[in-house]
Amino acid sequence: MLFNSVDFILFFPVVTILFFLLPKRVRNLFLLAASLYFYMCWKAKYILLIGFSILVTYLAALLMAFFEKKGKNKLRGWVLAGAILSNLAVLFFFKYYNFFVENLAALSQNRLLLPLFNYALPVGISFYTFQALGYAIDVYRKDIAAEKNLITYALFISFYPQLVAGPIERSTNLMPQIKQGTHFSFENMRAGLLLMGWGMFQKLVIADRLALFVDTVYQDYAQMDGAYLILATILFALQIYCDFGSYSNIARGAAQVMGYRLMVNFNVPYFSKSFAEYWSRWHISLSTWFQDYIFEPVVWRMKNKKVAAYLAVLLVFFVSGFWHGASWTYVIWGLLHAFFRVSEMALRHPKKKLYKKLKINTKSSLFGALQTIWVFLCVCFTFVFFRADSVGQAFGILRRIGSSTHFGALFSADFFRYGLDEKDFTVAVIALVVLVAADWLVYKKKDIYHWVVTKPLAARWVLYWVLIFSSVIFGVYGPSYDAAPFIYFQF
Amino acid sequence: MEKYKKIIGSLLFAVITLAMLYGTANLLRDRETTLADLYSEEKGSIDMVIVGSSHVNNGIIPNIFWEENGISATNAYSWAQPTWTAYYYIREALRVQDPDIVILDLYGMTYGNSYIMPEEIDRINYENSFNIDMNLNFLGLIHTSEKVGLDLRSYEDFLNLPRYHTRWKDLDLKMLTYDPHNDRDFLKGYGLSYQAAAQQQPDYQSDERMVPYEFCVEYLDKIVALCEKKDVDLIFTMIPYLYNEAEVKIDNWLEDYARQHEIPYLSYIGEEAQELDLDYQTDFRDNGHLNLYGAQKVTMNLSAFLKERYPDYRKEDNPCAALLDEDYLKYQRVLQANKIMAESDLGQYLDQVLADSGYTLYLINDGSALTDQLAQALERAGIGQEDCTRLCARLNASSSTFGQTSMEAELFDRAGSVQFTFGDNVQILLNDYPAISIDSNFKAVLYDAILGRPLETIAYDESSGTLSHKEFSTDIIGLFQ
Repeated sequence: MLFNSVDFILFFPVVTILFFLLPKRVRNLFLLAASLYFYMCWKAKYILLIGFSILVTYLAALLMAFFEKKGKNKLRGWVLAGAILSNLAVLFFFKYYNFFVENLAALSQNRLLLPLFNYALPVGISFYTFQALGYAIDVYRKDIAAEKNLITYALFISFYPQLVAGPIERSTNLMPQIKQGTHFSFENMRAGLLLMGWGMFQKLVIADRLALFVDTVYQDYAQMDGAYLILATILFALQIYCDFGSYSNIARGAAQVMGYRLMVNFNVPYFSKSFAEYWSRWHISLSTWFQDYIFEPVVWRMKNKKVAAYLAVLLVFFVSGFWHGASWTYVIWGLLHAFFRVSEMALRHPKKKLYKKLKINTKSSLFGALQTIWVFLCVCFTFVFFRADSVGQAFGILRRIGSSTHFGALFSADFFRYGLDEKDFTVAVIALVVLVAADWLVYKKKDIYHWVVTKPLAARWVLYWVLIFSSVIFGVYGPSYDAAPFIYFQF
Repeated sequence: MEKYKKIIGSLLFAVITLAMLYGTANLLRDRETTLADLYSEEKGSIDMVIVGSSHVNNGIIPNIFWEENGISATNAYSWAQPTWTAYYYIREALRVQDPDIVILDLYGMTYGNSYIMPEEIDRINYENSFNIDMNLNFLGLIHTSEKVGLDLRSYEDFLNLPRYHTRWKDLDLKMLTYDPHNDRDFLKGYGLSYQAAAQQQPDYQSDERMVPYEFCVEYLDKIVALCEKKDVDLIFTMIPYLYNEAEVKIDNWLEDYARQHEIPYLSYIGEEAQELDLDYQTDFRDNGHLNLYGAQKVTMNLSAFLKERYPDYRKEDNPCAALLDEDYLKYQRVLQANKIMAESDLGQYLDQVLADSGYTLYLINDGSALTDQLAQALERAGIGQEDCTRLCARLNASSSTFGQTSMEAELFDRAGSVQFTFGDNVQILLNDYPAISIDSNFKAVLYDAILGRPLETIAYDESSGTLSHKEFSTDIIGLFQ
């Protein structure tokens, strides 16, 4: 069930109303059932995989708690290792096995041919697996006590707003809320619905509209002028931000209406002035997961902290690339980010000295703007690999950009032949202006929500209607367009 | 108190928002419908509804029933209509009118065995299910189409907002003002076509029976039960087309079905077609549809049957008799127009145009040297012009205008414009749409003010001296009106 579907528009209010009407003691059970139904709308049988992940980590946590009482710490480690390996094994078979087989065959020049595993990739498997593993590690580290109530724990893993595309929640944040229960609050409802409305706008009006152009240009990249490929790549950066950001906003909004607070997943990343800042603003739930469960343990265990940090960055981005998909394009994307991040770390002091020597005012707005543009362009460059269907295509696109770029081509009448007609283009431009303005205000720490809700009633309602009707009328959905699933569902 | 204010405010906001969404959906909805005549006629004035596919649209002329039988009739058709759609059309006809008789064309029973593939039928049916007003019949039709069609679609695709929200790109005043309930159709759902295309007469014969697609049978049963319940006389027919062997077997099954239910069945395919004296060389527009001549034969045959079965209908009993008489006169004009559209001599053609003030001819000539005939005609039209090798003109018995290189004319008798383009692409643009094109330097569009529609594009070939005609068929006429 897609968030941008009529099914969800019916599902959400029905589930929310029933949730608040039911007695508190059965709400978690009801929400668990609704969440499982939500997931089963894709492929009912894959519910077994979530069930496996839930049961394994639930029992592992209880066992770790049991061994802790008995003072058998070594056994706790083995239990954790078992939980991690069994979960990763499922993830490997469904997501990476075929990739492994194909590469093995290529490396052995087709001498090692293993049978392929022909099952569709379960939606959201990387998200819920990481969430379950995070919980098991938290229990091992004694950051949280093992949960005894299976319903509470199962709901923590399968909570429908964030089940298929995050945010990857921490047990320390969501689990206590589930245990404690929530109550209806008008403020939560309003704030949640507004967040969902903004998410729908990002998805339907911006992301899916930009996709019309990006998909057309990338599909026919060999015939395209480099200027179109550059523009398509920049627009893809905005598309994926709005696509994934919208999912997170709708998920957070839906949860907030029911009284749950999920973590912020995107915090205006394209205004970042450095890669460190970028990764503290982009897909925050995954970045902090890697920070907590890979980066810090690696650095903590090594003596040379500087080298350890470089190695840990490399490892994190390598894993992050693989996490996104079983393809070398994602791995290269991850390694490029590692390169930028490590360079930034290594050049930090030399750059400081250089700026001082050249008397560059690093606090000026212009310098800040140049830093933002630099980071954004580098991120766009990495997205060529992220968006391309293969490494060959990515290099083909870069070659085309290098050899045949004429920016004048963007102003020819042909521009409107590539997915966006004049009217769609106009809507896209207006919507992007709205997006940039809103993000700028957020970046400047202005509270847009407070600004909206303190307006007089009539003005408030008009703003709500503008948000709703701009998505309803200008949204890219319905039989005239191919419905686009959220990009991050595939991960 | 504050809490209740918030709850009431939220509910009020939700209700207003839903109402606005409903209004937006209706505003953006394409309200053009093949049922316009059914909706626009005064309730109680329609005695008979003929339900079916485009075969009905092209094969039955309701005006003839009025003149011959005193029965006011209308065609309630949609393209490639399967039987479940027919069921909802009949329900809708019974809701908005009070007919005594329903004639059902059974082509929809051949679903899955016809010359149109089921997926194509589903697609066309899906696009046409919106012909019904937004009500329970509409919802029933989309629910059923989703359930029983072979090319299943998500129900979301049938809803107005997903389907029509992109129409913001083509906003025009008609979206606000068009109301099918005020759009009378003097041809009563008949799709006029003069065009003849010779066909090979099918000669499949079989005594075997083939059971139609299960949902067709289910919905035929429902139609029979509905008509019984509403005390409406049901008559089956099968309008001629180029059927295949399977369809003959289905036709045999339908004959048994009709006999079993004591419903008259006038099938015009197979051996039964002989009594029509149908000429496969001249009476078809294409392999699926009759032209005017074929439609006249079928309608007259049905009329004779109805005369015997319902001898008591009188025109004067109908509250809308005067309007229906006017409609019939317009239909006669259709027959009259047939004469000019069959003319092969350009001079004679221009004479006929200038003899009838109802006709207007928009013509363009860019290089063809048909000086004599054209100059004479222009002279008769009051335009003294010696060199006719490059001009555009609007010819009419009462007033004519012309230009050498450009001219703007009103689009027929309605708002809009006619433009002429010279050069490599000689064209006549009607409201920016190129008129039906024939490759020639001399071409013209004939408009009939009495029928309120363009009739045809003509072109003249100097070398052979032939005048070719290409008619504006019903399916595209909406663009130019």
